[in-house]
Amino acid sequence: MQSIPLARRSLARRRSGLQRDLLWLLGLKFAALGLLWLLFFSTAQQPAIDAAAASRQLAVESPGD
Amino acid sequence: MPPLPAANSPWSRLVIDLDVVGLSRLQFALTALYHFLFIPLTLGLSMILVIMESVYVLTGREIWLRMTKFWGLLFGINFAMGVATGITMEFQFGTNWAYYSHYVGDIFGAPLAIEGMMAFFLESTFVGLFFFGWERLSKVGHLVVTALVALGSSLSALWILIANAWMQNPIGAHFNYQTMRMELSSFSSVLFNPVAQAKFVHTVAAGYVVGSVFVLAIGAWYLLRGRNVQLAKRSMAVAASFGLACSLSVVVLGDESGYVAGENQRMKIAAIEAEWQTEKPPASFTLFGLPDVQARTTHAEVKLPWLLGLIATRSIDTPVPGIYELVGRARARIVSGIQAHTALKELRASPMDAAALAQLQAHQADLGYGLLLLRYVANPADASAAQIEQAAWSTVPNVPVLFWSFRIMVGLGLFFILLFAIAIYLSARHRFEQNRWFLRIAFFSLPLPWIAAELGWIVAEYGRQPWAIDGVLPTFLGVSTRSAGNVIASLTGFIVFYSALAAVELFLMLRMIRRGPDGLGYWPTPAPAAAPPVAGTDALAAVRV
Repeated sequence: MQSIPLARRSLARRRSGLQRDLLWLLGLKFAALGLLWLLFFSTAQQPAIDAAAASRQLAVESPGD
Repeated sequence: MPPLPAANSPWSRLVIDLDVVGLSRLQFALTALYHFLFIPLTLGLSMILVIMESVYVLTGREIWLRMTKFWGLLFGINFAMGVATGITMEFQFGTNWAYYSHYVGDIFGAPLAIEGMMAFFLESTFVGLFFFGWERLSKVGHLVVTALVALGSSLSALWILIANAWMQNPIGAHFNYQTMRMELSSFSSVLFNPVAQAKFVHTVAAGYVVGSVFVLAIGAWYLLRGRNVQLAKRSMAVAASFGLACSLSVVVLGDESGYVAGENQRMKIAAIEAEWQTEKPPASFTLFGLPDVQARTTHAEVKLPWLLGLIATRSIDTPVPGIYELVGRARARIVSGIQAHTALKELRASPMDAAALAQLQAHQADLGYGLLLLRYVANPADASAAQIEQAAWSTVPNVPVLFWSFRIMVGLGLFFILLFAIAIYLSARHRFEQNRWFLRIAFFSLPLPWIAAELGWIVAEYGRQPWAIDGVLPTFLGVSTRSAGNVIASLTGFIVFYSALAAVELFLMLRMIRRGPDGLGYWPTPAPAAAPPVAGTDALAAVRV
């Protein structure tokens, strides 16, 4: 008779552990994503869209290019 | 920019030119084909896991849990070893295809970014929960996780295919002469691109077939060896029924893909059919033939009347244009494209030139065709009639490669229908073990769905040539300014690293399959029926199947 409440308590403990792990995991993922953004996608890191280079590639460069 | 050498080497006639463009294409093709060894199995196995676990949740029978765990283990090896190889392809857009990224990144980047986020948050999180959640989630909760793994895999595929479909049918975007690139004008048009819809369902269904043949073949191997008999028979029953439904779907959805391509990529259809001259409608389908590129004809043709007309146009009175006619149309568009290129050049020099702007707007749809001439002449306006002719014929992809790739793919697709139909019959009559010939055929069919899937991509992507973006950007203009040696070095690195990765994957897969569910020891073997029940467990449930 004792085994059912014990099993339930054990399952509840495991689920709360799972929630904690998931929160940690999501936190880590957001942190990794933020780091990626800072390193590669932030305004400071963005390469300029070089219309002049594209003009040269397509052989339509103007004297200013 | 100096004109690139004409593509006339024996190697280029066979497959590809080994200049920077050719090497970059080769690298992308090899990494894409390699990546797609893993993707269809991920798609297929994830859905098969959902079916197996659903049966477990509904019936409570232990053997279905074991099946889910065993096939889930193979799914996990495949996922861990292969899925990340797609990232290198995304990097190649920056390293090898910088001008491509500049020109169309505004449109192409969005679905790729969404796919990355989806894989990062949805797919990988739920894959983790699938493996580590068995003891921490309820039965139904875990089934939901498994279903979300399958959904996440399919959604990842959806976004990649939306990006790819835009390369085949570039809608929802316009050219901006000031930024010198294509810019997004309608995300919903990109999202609901009819090519994307047709490609998605066809590709995902093909992945389900790969997963089904994999399970059927490994199950057959166990039965041939007399091991894991109950698990193998049930697995084969699932694979056969799911596989038959999916292989039928692949044919139907492939037909839809053919119809969509017939609408917007007529040259691809004509090359697949080696149809040099426009036939009187309804066009017949060439079942067999020997395409002769030099003579621009197809020898020893065996034709099925009406079939191509029905596939490509859904009618019996609409012609399917042949290669000669389409080259003629390309010639006219190149002439118009020269006007667009000249106007663009004038606009770059004088951005307020209204006449040049009007000329560009009038011929803008053909700008890409004008750019084809840059392979033969530095300034398209100076192109001779011969160069225009050469550029027009460059719009024809490699006919023999497409012709045979398509036929082998379709032949294999029909074979899978037969294979699964026989498997269902034998499964329903409980006669797998009595028909060892079928088990051997099923086992040796293991590599065939991968061959069919890779050939499908060859038809789709090699058939897109000479375009990176169909009708908009020729492939040779999308490449980065790198040296050939540089690309050879990275290509060699990919070949060495990916070969090692493939060897490790094969080793792990084969080891797990050889050990089998009976040898893995991840779960207890069923207790004998006579054993006394253990408190808190259902010993009968453990042996009930």
